Amino acid sequence: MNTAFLVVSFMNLAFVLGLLLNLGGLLTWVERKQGAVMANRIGANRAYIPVPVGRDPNGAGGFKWSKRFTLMGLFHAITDGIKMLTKENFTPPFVDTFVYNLAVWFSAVPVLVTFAVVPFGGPFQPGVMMSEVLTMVGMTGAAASVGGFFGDGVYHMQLANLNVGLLFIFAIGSTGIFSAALAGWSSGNKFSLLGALRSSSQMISYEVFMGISVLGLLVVYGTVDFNEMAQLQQQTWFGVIPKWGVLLQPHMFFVFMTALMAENKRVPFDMPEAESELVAGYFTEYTSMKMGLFMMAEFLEIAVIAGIMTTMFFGAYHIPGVVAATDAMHWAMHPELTPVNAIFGAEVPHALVVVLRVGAFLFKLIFFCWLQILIRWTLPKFRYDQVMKLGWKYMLPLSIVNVIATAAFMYVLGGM
Amino acid sequence: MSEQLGQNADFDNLIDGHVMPQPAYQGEFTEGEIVKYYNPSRMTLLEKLYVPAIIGGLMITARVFFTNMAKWGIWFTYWIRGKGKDAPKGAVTIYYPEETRPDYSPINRGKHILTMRQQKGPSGEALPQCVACYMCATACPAFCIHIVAGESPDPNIEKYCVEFDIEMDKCIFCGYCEEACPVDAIRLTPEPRMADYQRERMIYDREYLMTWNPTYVEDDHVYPGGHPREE
Repeated sequence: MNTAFLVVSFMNLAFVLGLLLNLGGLLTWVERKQGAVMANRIGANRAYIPVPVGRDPNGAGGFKWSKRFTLMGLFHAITDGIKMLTKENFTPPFVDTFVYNLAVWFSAVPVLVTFAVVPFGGPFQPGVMMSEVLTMVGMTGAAASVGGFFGDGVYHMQLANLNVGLLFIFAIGSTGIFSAALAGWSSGNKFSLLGALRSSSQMISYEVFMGISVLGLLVVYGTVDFNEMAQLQQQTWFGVIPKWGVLLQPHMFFVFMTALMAENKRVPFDMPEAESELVAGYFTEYTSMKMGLFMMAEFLEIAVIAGIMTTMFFGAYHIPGVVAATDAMHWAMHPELTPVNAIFGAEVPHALVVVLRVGAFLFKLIFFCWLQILIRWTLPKFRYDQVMKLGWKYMLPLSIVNVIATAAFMYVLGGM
Repeated sequence: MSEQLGQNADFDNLIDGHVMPQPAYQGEFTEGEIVKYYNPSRMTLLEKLYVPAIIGGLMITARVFFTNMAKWGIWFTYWIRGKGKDAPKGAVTIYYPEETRPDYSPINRGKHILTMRQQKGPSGEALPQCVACYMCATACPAFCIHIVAGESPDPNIEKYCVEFDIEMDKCIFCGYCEEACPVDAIRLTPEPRMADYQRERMIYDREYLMTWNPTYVEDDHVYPGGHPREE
């Protein structure tokens, strides 16, 4: 545990927290705007910052605040935050106060912690990267000192390089149910209680086949470590087709995505909330930012689910086409093969490699966020018995059959 | 409930598995057949598999999304040149109050006006056509017209309205006042914009009804009262 490791960890932490919290706010905007565009509407865009332009012709020497700077409705995310922070923080007299307040933290914390094991950029050498950048802008002295501080150490762009990656996600992700259960039971409200009950039974149905559905993929990969998974997915068939999880187990991609979306408790799996039946389900009795944290947790989970799907099924931070030695610090390939090498010669600078990897990861992440919101605005809500039926009678047997079939296939083939 | 069902032969027949006594028309069913009263599933295997149907639905909404985004992209090329108001949009929304529908009917019943006499009063003030007969206030189903009668300053006219208030937030725009008026003093114009931010300003007084102007828009800010009204 040296100083350089601490610095790199804090850099990673700042990046992940900045990414997730900003995405959580932005996704509220995306949710509104994308739903609007899909329905031929404009969407929320009335929140504005007034800009004074000239004098008011009708006022007594006052400014005319008539220019409205709306920025496509992006201020609505800020106004939502202001509204939730300044509203009355009312605790009903009939709740179990300690558990009632505890449940709020159980909603947001597991979601944030889950992202710790998602690799967002692969291995990198901060010393090499920063000295390259600093040399480019002409600060050779600073480049030498920074390079000396970090050395040649290879770090992972990942908060916690755990070798139990996926198990950690299942362990932490399944604690998310505590928030719904505790909130529902402590609220002293029948709507909340029903929401908690529904949430618990939905979680039982979906947690089971969520684990089993990716077992097939784990048999193929032979690891639960997300870093190794990401590195395995850079292999190719015939040097062209990347061996991404979605091509190895396309059917399980749908099943796992269904399970994750059911865990997130959004439409079409929003039985625990069910506005039409249960007011707001398990967080009916919550006000102001406590309610906001429940909402925030849902939007954060969109991003976390996108991260998990990207890492497990869509090649993590790899760019398809840039196939040779993608985990190397520098991409040294046939220059005629990739446009990147055509520009930078035989050896791509490490800083650019890192930027491209993070960019590829973010692109896939945002695509999956978009896809989840597309699903949310397309599919109608399931009836409760339909959700149970889908989980227990179709998804679970399908997952089990897939595990057996994949295991038998791998035994015959003897490897990927 | 079950007693009611038993009394009514029509409802009784709706119970699933009931043996039908008589066909309603020739060839509906053979007599004595057990009839099930629900729609048989007409889904094909592809639809029953559910996932292809979901993907099909997602493709429809995604298509709408990208079509609209492309339209917004074209709109942006107009907007960046300052021609955003005339450009086609990627939505069907009319962005009120910055935009209004162009297809309001010319006989739309909207904001009221009080007509004025050509002759001015003795001190040069404008005189309303209104003779304070209270017929509009009587005809009004929403009771939103309030008139105070007074002696007209013009010696040739007996009465006129000293005050004429319409509570526009109560008005239902039925046009009965217009129909009831014997002297064509009150009219409903096609003007649809009457929104305001203060409830008090929704009571239009005589002076305002007599000095009506078209809606005044300046720099995206709409003064809905026709002209910027003083408080």
